[in-house]
Amino acid sequence: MADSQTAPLEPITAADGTPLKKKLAQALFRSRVRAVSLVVPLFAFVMASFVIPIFALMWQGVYNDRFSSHMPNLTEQLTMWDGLTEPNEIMYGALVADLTTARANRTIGRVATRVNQEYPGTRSLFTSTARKAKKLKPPFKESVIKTNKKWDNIEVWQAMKITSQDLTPGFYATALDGRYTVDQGFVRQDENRQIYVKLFWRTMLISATVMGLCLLLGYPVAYLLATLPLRTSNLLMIMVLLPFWTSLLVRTTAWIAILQSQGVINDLMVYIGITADDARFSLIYNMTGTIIAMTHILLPFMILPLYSVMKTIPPSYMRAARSLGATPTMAFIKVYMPQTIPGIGAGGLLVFILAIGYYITPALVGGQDGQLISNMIAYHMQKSLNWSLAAALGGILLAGVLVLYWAYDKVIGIDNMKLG
Amino acid sequence: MFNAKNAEGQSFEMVWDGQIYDLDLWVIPKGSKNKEAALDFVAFSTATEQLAAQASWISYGPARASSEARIGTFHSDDSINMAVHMPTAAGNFKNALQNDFEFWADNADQLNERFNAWLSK
Amino acid sequence: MVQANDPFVSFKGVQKSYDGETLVVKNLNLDIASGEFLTMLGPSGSGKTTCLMMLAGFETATHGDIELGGRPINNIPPHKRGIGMVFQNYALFPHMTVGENLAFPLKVRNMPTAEVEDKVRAVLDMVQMLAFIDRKPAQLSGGQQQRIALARALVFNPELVLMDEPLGALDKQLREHMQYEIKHIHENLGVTVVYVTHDQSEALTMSNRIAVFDDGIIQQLADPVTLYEKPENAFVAQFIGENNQLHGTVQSVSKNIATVKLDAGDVVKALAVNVGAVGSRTTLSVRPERCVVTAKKSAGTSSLDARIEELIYLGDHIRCRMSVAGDDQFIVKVPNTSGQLGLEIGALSQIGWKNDDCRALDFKEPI
Repeated sequence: MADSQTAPLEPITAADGTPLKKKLAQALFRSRVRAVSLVVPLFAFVMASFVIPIFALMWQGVYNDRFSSHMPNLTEQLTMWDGLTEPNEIMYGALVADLTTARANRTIGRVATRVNQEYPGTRSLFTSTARKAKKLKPPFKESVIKTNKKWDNIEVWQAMKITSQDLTPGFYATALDGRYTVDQGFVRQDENRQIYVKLFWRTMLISATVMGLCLLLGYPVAYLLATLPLRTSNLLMIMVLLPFWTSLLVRTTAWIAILQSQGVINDLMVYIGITADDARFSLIYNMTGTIIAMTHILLPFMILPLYSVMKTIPPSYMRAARSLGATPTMAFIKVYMPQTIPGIGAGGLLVFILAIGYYITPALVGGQDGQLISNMIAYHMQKSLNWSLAAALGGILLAGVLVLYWAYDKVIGIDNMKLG
Repeated sequence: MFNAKNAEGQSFEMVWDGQIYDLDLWVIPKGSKNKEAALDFVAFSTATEQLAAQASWISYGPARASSEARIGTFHSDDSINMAVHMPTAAGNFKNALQNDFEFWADNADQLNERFNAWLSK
Repeated sequence: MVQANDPFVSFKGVQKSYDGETLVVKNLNLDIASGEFLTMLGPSGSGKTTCLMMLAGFETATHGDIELGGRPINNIPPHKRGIGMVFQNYALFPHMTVGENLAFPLKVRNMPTAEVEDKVRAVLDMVQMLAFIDRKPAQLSGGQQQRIALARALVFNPELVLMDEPLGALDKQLREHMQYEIKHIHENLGVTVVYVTHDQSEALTMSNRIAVFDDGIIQQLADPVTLYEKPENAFVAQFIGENNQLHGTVQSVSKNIATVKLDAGDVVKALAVNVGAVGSRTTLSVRPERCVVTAKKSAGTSSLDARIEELIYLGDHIRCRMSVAGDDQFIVKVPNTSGQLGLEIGALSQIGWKNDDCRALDFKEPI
């Protein structure tokens, strides 16, 4: 033993004299190159169509150079300004110079929109002053304020200072019902404009409810699927998958027909006499409608992972538990259910994450209190065109999902997840 | 609305109080080849006579006060006096508000936010 | 009260059908004594596992009664029967440790925690697995899982333990080792064991009695020695151990000895065990180790011409494949004693046996 420890270790060599480790690395490298080259097309596609756009959009959530790129002179002055003292003549001069160029380049609209996001009610201030900027004479402070008194308001200048910073936490602040100010840092948004935090919570609540309902409804179905004889379970499987093959829009509008106040369910209840004709239930265009329709649409995403897990649990476990003296109920709870946890976890996570980003269904059947944060993101993407705010909202949503994923990994373990 | 109420006989009633009105415009692109002809057309179509004639086809108010007196009856039904159906008729126009593009450009986002916040209460 | 002589488990005219058309178990009558080790042996599809499942309560008998300790149990659900069971795939609960698996049957019986602990340790000690108490089943080898499954079936002191091919997944060496271990545990605890297998050597090693199943019927119920030495029909003779079978027609029967004319024309004598009237067809069955090569004719023996086709040297004996009476798969085991090694392929010889060693059984078409 002592000998082998003290003797210098000769590297093992292959038949041609090269060290074995190097030879092995070469062989592995070749197979690795082959494997990688198979993935390259998909990888390139995903990068180009998914990863890069997502990062570009995320970047927009914290980076916006509309103001600085179109108002370079003023940006320079605003950077030096402390944000509290009265704006000086040089700053007004830079303002007039930049407004004149922006007007000539027809970029004044973009600048005005950007500042308006930060300080509402100032869009026309910029466009109208820009029209007159060419004719303004020094001293600029006096002549600018003469065109519009608002230029004397320091808050306008503070808003410009905020927007002149390319890298800004302002959009995230807005997305969390806050405001980023020059003098006080982060402050709460005015109470009558606070909406996003509430929507985030509502999104979480609805997603959790949908997940719970899917689990409640899907578990027995998955159990039947996994335990019934093949012919029956195949039929049942088709029934589970049938809605899956129908367009999302069709299914959602079908719910409108069923749930509306003159719809199938309400007519039936009035007919049976459960409710009076003038006191029909409002089942749609509210949170109830959103939850019902989303539960139905997301149900297969719960059933399929559950089924794939249950399929692998041999019936002998239940038999063993019963032969050991457990009642059927106890055997089910103590022996069967714990083994389906990977399926519950996978289905739950899948449904929750899908629900969090759900957009079409709440938009169609959500009414006012069934709207989710995704509808707000769509609004800022399509209507208000405040993409940076949409990106910030999306970024927070993404962060929320990642936190959940992390928590899931901690509690259950991601290796335990089984999707199919 | 006018059509539904009068021509089709639906039971609607117009509430003119607090109406918000828009103005329609003619625009001649800069450097237009037929500028003269275009100017002629604008002059013709905005004349008192023409604006009043327009009113017999649709309940859009004439932009000239002078047209008001010349408004006749509905083109297909002589029993309908169009003058009372004009948004610009004296009784209807008392509490009218012009749509302010500039205001909405300045405040739309903020007001939408407030509206959504109010909705979700 | 259960008397000492009363059967502990009793099948009475039990039938089972899954589809309403064919019977998987046809009129089963079987008594098992307390403390007995009974093996149900048979090929797959013979109905043996169905019988076990009916006893455990996972299948209901279509007809007939099953009694346990003198009580009919047809309507008692499995968890109230108090029968321990070892499954083919062990069915150890994967989300529980070894200790939790063993504690499970005790906890569902509301046993105090301290007592549970003691019992679990005791039974683990018995199967020499105490060191593994905190492991998960997936961290154990097949043999270790087998022991835990056995321990779990015994931990709540059942009077009856059922085992459904419990050694099927183990390799040969481990399987033989476990056979002895199960046998010893059975002897030490005195529990009644009903064991299902398709492996005849397993059945012969462990059982007090073996019920040979085929086609939903018990073909023979006997202790291992009787079963091997005195099979009562052609199926059992073929299924248990190795056997040479020759077919012929009964010419006469006198004093238990039948004279049979083989299909190839030779006439031999055999012990009449299960034959019909003169003129009926019969299967003659003789064990390879009971045949003698180059036999001298004497009273009470039969002999036939034979040709050596193949020789396989197996150390303690030589396996000799011969052509006998038109059958070229006739096997004779020649003991490796001095002077026996003169066998040559192609050599003509005579083989013979005692008439008592050749059993004339029911006719069964050669496969």
